[in-house]
Amino acid sequence: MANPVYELDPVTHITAGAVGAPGRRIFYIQAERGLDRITLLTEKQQVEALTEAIDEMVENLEKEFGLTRHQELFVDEVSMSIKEPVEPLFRVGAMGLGYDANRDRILLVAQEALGEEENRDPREVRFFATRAQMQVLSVYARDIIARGRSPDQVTLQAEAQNRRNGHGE
Amino acid sequence: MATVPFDPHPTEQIDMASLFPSAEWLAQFQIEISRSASYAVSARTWEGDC
Repeated sequence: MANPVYELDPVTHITAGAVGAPGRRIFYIQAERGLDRITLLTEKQQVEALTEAIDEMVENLEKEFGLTRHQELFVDEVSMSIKEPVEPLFRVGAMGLGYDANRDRILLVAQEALGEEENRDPREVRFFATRAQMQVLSVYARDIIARGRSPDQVTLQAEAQNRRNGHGE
Repeated sequence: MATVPFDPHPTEQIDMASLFPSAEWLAQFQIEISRSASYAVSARTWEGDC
């Protein structure tokens, strides 16, 4: 049987964040379309990979299609927070990001993570969002990830980022 | 008269796709969620991982 696919197209809201105390935080991706809401359970590394993929895509869209990134983003802490009750549809495994050029929308696909013994097709969700929505998600999620780190870790990461960007050493 | 399947986005183009995390990370993750006691707990309670 084909794997069930859930789609919010377009989303009216999308975010990635965490719930819980530092060191024991649980990360989620959450999207809404009107009254419909889908929440997915993720690992922190997956959220980090998502922010990197978004930033890379926004950069490529700017270089290759001249689609200027939104410079002034308003990140509303309250609206970007994960809304409760948190009832995840599934735990995320693989994700993918695509660009729908006709509608100028970024597509996020997330597939269910299955254990070795589970013999069924994974469920899948598809979220279509604007570039601005995804940029805001990336900025907010990076901030949330950094809040769980010690100041030393944040400094080391900033230095590594500067080196990658050709600044610093 | 032939029935045309409804397609809300007939000219949809998905381009510049990227997949993540890496295949290696996903393979390791599958092992972890299958064998780790903490994931077994979180699967029952949706808690326990961070």
